[in-house]
This record gives sequence, structure tokens and C-alpha cells, in this order.
Amino acid sequence: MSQGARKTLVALALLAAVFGGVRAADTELDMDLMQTIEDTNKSLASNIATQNAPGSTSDAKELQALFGKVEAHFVAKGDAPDAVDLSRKSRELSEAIVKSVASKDFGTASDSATTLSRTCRTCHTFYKKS
Amino acid sequence: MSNDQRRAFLRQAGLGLGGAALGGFIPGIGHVSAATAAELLDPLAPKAPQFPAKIKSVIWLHQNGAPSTLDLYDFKPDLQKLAGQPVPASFLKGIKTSTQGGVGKLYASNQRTWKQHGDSGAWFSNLLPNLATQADKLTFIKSSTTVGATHDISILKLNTGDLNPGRPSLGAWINYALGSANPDLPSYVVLYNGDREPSAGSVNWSSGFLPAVYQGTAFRPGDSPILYLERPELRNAVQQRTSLDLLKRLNLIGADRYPHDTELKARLQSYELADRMQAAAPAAVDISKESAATKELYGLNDKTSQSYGEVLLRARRLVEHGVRFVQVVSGFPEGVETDRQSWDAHSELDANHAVMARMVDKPIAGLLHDLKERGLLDSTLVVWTSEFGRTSWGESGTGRDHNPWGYTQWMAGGGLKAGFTYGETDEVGLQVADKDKAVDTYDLHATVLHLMGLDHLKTTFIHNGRSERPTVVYGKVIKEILA
Amino acid sequence: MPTVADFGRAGQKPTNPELLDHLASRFVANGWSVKKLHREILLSATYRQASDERAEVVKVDPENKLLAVYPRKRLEAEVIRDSLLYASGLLVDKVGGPSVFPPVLKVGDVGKSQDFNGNRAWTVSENKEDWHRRSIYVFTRRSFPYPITQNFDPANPNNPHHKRDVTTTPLQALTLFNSEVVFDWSQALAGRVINEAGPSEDAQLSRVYEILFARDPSKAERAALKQFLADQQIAIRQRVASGKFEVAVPQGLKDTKNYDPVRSAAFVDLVHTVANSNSFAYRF
Repeated sequence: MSQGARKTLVALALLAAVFGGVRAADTELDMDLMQTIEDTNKSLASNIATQNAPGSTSDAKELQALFGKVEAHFVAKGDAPDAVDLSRKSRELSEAIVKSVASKDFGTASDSATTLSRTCRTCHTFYKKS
Repeated sequence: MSNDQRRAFLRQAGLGLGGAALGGFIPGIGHVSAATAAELLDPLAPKAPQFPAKIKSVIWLHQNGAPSTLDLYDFKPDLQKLAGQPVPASFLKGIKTSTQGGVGKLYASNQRTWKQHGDSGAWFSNLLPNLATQADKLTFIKSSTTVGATHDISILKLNTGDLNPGRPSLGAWINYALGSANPDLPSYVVLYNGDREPSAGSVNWSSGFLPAVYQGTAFRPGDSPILYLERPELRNAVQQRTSLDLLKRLNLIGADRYPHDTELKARLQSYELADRMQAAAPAAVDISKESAATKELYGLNDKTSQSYGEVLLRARRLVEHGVRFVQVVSGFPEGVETDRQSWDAHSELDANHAVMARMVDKPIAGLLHDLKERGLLDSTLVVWTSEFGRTSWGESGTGRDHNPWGYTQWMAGGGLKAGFTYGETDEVGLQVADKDKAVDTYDLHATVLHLMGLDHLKTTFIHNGRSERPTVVYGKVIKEILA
Repeated sequence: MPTVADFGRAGQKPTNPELLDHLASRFVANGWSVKKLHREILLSATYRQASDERAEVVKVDPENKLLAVYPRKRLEAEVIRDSLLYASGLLVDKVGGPSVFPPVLKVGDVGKSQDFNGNRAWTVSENKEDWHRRSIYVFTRRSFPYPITQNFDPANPNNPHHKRDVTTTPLQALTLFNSEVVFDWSQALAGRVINEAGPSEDAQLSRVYEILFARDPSKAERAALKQFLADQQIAIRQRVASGKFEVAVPQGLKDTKNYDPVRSAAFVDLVHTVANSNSFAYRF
């Protein structure tokens, strides 16, 4: 392999490693989407704990939208009814959190958030590749 | 409370070393920043729980290497029946297996006999004859689950709630939330038997992002748990004190440039604590004066159980002296031939568990009995825990692989329904039977915190602008096992 | 890069991927020379920053992820021991040879457990030179880790490591402050300082700081140290008066003309205390 080609290959490999792994084929769920859900979920937990209403609402609304995408993905896939259920449940929980926060009920919001996190794990048992 | 919040509180409360001290002047030292002044007040000062606590101390018995609870507590007659056959597909639904060489045939040892014990009728195998006598003190959680294929990361999750290092351990959270009940001893101690430090490392008793002062302190097994406890002969007590005072002054002068650095402060604290430990620690860990009957009770007269028994006897004494969290990591008996130096029986389970069970059986039974006799059991929590369980299928013919999908742990002590079992695994003891009753490590943590009077959702620390809690974003108190 | 053990999917993203790329491509261009990479990093403005906290930085980047200040480091286990030996002039800088067994206690015996061949866990080396070799030559026995370094988070020989733990425990304080083995080194360091600085107290104080920290003591530090010397001499005189004549004195003193054992013992305590301070244990 020429020096130039090797350089490019190394640089590409480094880039790939740095940016978190080669993107899988498009029938798989985007890992960055899942990472964003996880990060937003953590931010949500923190915002609820500190009773930050605008922060919690924005996080919960974003989760609602993201889970909508996940749901659509599994609906399109067709062979994953459990995943459809779980992602719908997650979307609904996110919506419930928005409502709880709006009525200043951070206790219920906290419980819903914890249930939401558990839902993530349940789905992962079946549908996470690694 | 974060540093900022604490400073604000102190400023408002007008506390400090003479009114001028807050962010001001300390005689003999000069001007110091507000943070330094605040930290001069004790970060380990006892704090009230959020609601009345049922227990004051935790003895966390980590069974390192993951014992096969299928061979200790979880009696599965169907497993005996189906032994030798491949695992029926229905039992493997929903789990990802990663056993080397593929999933083996179901395995049951022919050396195992099972009996029910006590009024509660709890099942014990022939491997734990002594612990079986304490059946009615135990609260079993037979639907334990977790994540992880390898010991180190699952042990990390068991202790700190995350698969990656960086989070505080349960003991550190409790230390942070409740402070110390005895200013002369570390309030979070790590004990282990065997001839080497726990292989999973000190990240398992780390303070993570909490101030460094809340981490656990490991005591060595054997005769000198605390090396260098005595000051040099040629230095008398007065010299010691003045030297320590100089050290404090020098460190404070230096720390002024780093007001947010808790590690520097923790180091200063550690010297003060070391000084107090010199007086208090020998008495706390000295087991030589225990009665012969007590030593026999804890299994000190049996070579296999001696080292673990000594550790548990120390643990009891530490609890008596007000230590809040004693993390005991099981090792292995010295001078005994074992292939694997832990419970990790991927092969030859019978030989391995014969030794390991004998190592812990009498000591743990002795500890429970002793705590009860001394009236300590109601204010102490003893936890049998492991990073996962073991599979129903055999590995290498005579062992079992790792099983995070369903295994048994137990707790005993104040605030619990004694002689009670929560949850169960499926007929072959592989997965939790009812997923809604699954108890993850977060749920275990939430429950322990609850018994100590802390709501896991409200035990928080602001780190990086974000509120963190011990249970990360999970955690559910298992109300069904509470008395 | 917060998770140096995992650059992949399970790890976290680097804070400055462009910089990482830049360094990586220059590394390759420089013929994969590690030395050149070290040079580049160590000579950069970022690396040469001071570690003093800056309030505005702490607000925005409390974990210093973007390296706006030098991240102060606790010295590693071996470095702590080696630095003390070096400063006190005791370090034997011999290269190579079999591993050594320095003493754990000055008086007393540990490491008694035996293996199946009757070999003890720890038998102290007979050759005293071996006691002061660099820590890298100290025998690593998994069942009996050498406590003086063990308490400062060395790498666990059972596992591969990408990063050292840093713990702060009272056991470390006890090791550095109470261990007679370490106290010996302070006695030697005190002797070296007096030999090199002469009888003047100010010169001696400057020389201690020069050896240990490559700087002069600040006004506040100097005041504290002088106060301590005065107070400590009183304490020691009282001890001597009560019949206990033995005090810890500097080792290896060349000039014994103006020798005052009480003052010298106070100076040993001072040196020992300074060696225990954060300024020594941390690289700022």
C-alpha cells in the first residue's frame, strides 16, 4: 500500500474510531439517536430533581419527539410488536411528564421518569445489539 | 449540598470561625477564601436522615466471583429433573447468551441435597448448614437481575451503579448523606480476606464525583490491619501534634489557590483522621479479646473459615463503634488448595463451592446470631450480594457460567420482613419468572438507602451543573420486603 | 478524552476531535516517533499553563475538560517514594538486576506467610543498597504488595490499566507521616539540607523548599516554619527534661561544631512535615 493510501486509511480509521464506530446499515436504529435519548433522559432526571420546570418540559418534549421516531421505525420494521409497545409507552410517559411538570407535581414526574428509564432497559434486553 | 450552596448557607447562618472567618481572616493563617473557611467545618459531621431511619449501619457482604445461588438457596427440582438435557428454547427467550463454546446442557450436581429450614421454610442446600439455622432472619430476593458479562464491570455496577468508573459507591453516598457517627474512625471501611486486595479495585469504594473525603478506607486482613498506625518512637505526642498543626497551616496556604479543589482538602482531613485513628482504631479492630465462644461462633477455629470469620468479627466491632458502611469483599481461604480464588466456578463447581461455602457459612451465621444477641440486628443491615448469579446450564461439564438474568441475594436486619422471600426465578432458575418483580442493583440501592432514612430520589449532589443521585435515573424501593 | 480505555462506541467522545486528529496525523508524519509527540505536547502553551484556579474557568468548565488550566496531578505511588529518596540523597540509581525487597517496618516482621516451598512472602534484602533502589525494582508480590507504595494506588498487577486511581485516605497519611522507614528518609534529607545550606536558619528553610519544590517559601510559609521551629524546640526540650534523651536527629551531618540536638530534631520534624504537605504530593 502506498504511503499516501496508508495515511488516508489510518486517518480514516482514526476518524471512525474517534467518532464512535462505523455507522451500521440503515435498517438499524441510529446509535446517535439512542445516545441523544440517553443524554436527554439524564438531563431530565436532573431537571426534575432540581424542580427546573422549563428545563424538564423541554427535555420531556424532546423525548416525546425522539420516541415517536423510534416507534415509527419499529412500526415500519413490522416484526417487532414488543418494541412498538415499549416505544409508545415511552412516548406516553414523556407526555405524562410534561403534564405533571405543568401542574408542578414533580413527585409524579420523578416516578414517571424512573419508570421511563426502566422501560429503556426492558426494550434493550430484546432489541439492543450489544 | 454543593459547595456553593453550603457557602451560601454558612454565610446566611453566620457560622464560621468567628464572624470574620467567612471568606475572610483566620488568625495565624491570614486571609482565606470563603470555600476554605467553609471546608474547615467538618464535611463528615453527622447529618440527619430525611425521615426516621430503621438502621444505622450496613454490612455489605459482597460475594466476589458470583456464587451459584442455584446451589445454595434457589432449589429447582425441575433443574434436577432436566439435568443433562439441552436448555428448552422457551427458557432462553429474551436473553443474549455469550458462553464460550455455546450454551451447554442443563447441569445439576449430584452432591446437592436440599431441605427447608425454620418457620419460614426457606430452602437451603447442604452447602450452608450453619446459615440455614438463621433462615428466619433472612429476607430473600430471588428475582435479582443485573447487567453484564464480566466481573469487573458488573461489580462496578453493583457498587457504584454504572458500568464505567466515575460514580460514587453506595457507601460513599451514605457517607456523604449521613456523615460519620464516630469522628475517630473512617465511617466507610472496606474489609477483605485472602492474601490480596479485591481484584476489581478501589473504584468500588471510590467517592466518584463526590468530594474525595467520602471514599472508603481499606483495612488489611490479618494481624496488622492498619500499618504505620503508631507514630515513630522518637517522636512524642506533643511533637506529633505541633507537626500536624504545621502541616495544616502549610496545606491551607497552598489550598487557597485552589478553592474548589476538594481533593486537597480531603488530604488535609485524612491527616487529622489518621491522628485520631491512632487512638481509636486499635481498640476497634482488635479481636484478640473476644471470648473463645465468640471466636468459635464465627468459625475462627476452622482453617477454611478462619480468615473470613476474623473479617466479620471485625465488621461487627466496627459497627459497634459507629462505622456506617462496612464493605466486606470475600476472598478465599489461605493455605487451602483452590483452583479459582473466588466463587467464580466456571468449572469444577462442587470442589470450588465446597471450599467457598465453608469459608462463609459459619462466619455469616455467627455474625447474624451475634448481632441479634447483642441487640444490634435491629439497627444493622446485613446484605448478601454478588455481581450476578450463575447459569442453569453447565460450562466445561461441571461448572456454571455467569447469569445476570435471575439470581438470589438476601438482606437481614432492621426494617425488613424477616423469614420472607420476594420474587422467584423460572423453573430451571435461569431468568426472573415475573419481570415486574425483577430487582436490579438500583432497586437494591434504593431499598438500602430507604432503610437508612434516605429517599434515593432526594439524595442528590450537583455535579457539572447536573443533579446526580445514587440510582442514576433508575431505582425503586422494594416496598414488599419492608416490615 | 475521558474514557481512554475505550475510543469506540462504548466510550465517550473526545472534547476536541480536531486536535486529536491533528496530533495523530503529525505523529504519523513524524515517523511514528513517540519522543517527538512528547516534545510537541510538553512544549505546547497548554501544557505549560499554571494550575491556579481561575474563577471564570471554574464556572464554565468545572472539570477542566478543555484544559484551560494545568490539571494538577497527585504524584503516582512510585514517584512519591522515588522523589523522597532522591531528595534525601539516598536514592541508589543503579540500573537493572533482580528485584529488591526494601523493609516494610524499621522494627518488626511482616510478610510471614509462606508458599508451598517455604518461601516467605517478604524477606528484606540484606544489601542496604537495595533498600533505596527505584520503586520500579521493588518486588511485586501480588499476595503481599509493598505497603509504602501500595497505599498510593499503584497499578494492580492483576489487571491491565489505562489510568491510575487516585484515592485520598488516612492510610496514606499514616504511611507518610508515621512510618519509621519514611521518617528515616526525612532525617537524611534534613542532614543534606544542613550540610548544603550551613547553619543559617533562613538558608536552611530556603534550601528545603529549593530541593523539594524548586522554589522559595512564601512569606506566609516562612513565617509558619520559623514559628514551628521555635515551638517545636520547646516541646522537645520538655521531652528531654523528662528523661527521654533520644530524639530523631538529622543523618549524615558533616559539620558537628555548632550541633544542637534539640534544634536539629525540630528541624527534622519540620522537614518531615514539609515532605508530607500537598505541595510535595501534588504536581501543580
